[in-house]
Amino acid sequence: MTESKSGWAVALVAFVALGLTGCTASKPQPTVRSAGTTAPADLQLLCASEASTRFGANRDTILPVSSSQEGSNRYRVDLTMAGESAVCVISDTGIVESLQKV
Amino acid sequence: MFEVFARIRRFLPLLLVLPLLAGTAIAVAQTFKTQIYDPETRKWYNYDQKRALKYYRKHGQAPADFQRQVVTFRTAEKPGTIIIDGDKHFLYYVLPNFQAIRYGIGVGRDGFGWAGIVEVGRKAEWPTWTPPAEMVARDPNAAKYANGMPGGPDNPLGARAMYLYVGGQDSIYRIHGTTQPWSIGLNISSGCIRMVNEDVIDLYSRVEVGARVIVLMQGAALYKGV
Repeated sequence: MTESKSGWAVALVAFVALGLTGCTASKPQPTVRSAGTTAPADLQLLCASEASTRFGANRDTILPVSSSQEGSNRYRVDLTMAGESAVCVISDTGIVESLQKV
Repeated sequence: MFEVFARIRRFLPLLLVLPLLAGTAIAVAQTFKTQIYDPETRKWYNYDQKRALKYYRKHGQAPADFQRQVVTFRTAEKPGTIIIDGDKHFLYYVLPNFQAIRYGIGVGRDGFGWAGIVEVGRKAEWPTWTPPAEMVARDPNAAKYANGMPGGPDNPLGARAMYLYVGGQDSIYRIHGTTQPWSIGLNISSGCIRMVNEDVIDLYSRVEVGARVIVLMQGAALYKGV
């Protein structure tokens, strides 16, 4: 009987512990957001960096000027490049899927 | 007075070139505002000056996302670079190993936002604030500081300032502290990037003169050089 009670106690502690772990491991929700959706800054700059490499342009003349979400896991980033323009599509994991002058 | 005219004359080329550059910006000129989540009503609300003041009075600080924190940041920019995301009201200071320190900021109000690539030209502790000539002309309170307001707790530049230069010339924009810590997350300035004093002191201690500063803001006028 005593063994049975202690067994239930262990199970209860384990259940509570698992529950707590579940709570603390969850990703914190954002408290603020922008009224418009833009690509994360690091992804925008990865596009600019790739454009500098691919087109041989001076990196000081390349700047992301606009971005938007395309589907659930990729972004479109519009770049200005010393008077020219380019469009970059980048995944949310940081892989440049396409990059073209327009 | 001579000093004010000298300043105007020095900035004249920049003031003339800005509208030209604005013409090269993309057509969609919109400054995104912040929204805040209310867990009680489970709704998002516009984070305007009134709500920001109310939030600050209740919590004594800006919302959690605007607190200084280390985040993952996948970038080819070298450590020490500053990246400003004006749309989301974040400033990133790039660290090694794909990390960055993220700070909450206030940015330019409608018509005063800008984007570009500049550098930190100089730094100052408890900087002097000199109001622009047009502010001196219309505001008697500003007029008494036409020759500069000494640094101190009432100075609108706050505890530290990093002066942003382009091509070795002062851009007239700064990253600086503030006497209005509730204003983080808002589009409120005349184009300067403002931070709470604790954060600007922290950033100032890390940033070196010559550091590259990339300012992203969708639809804003492009600053010289890009």
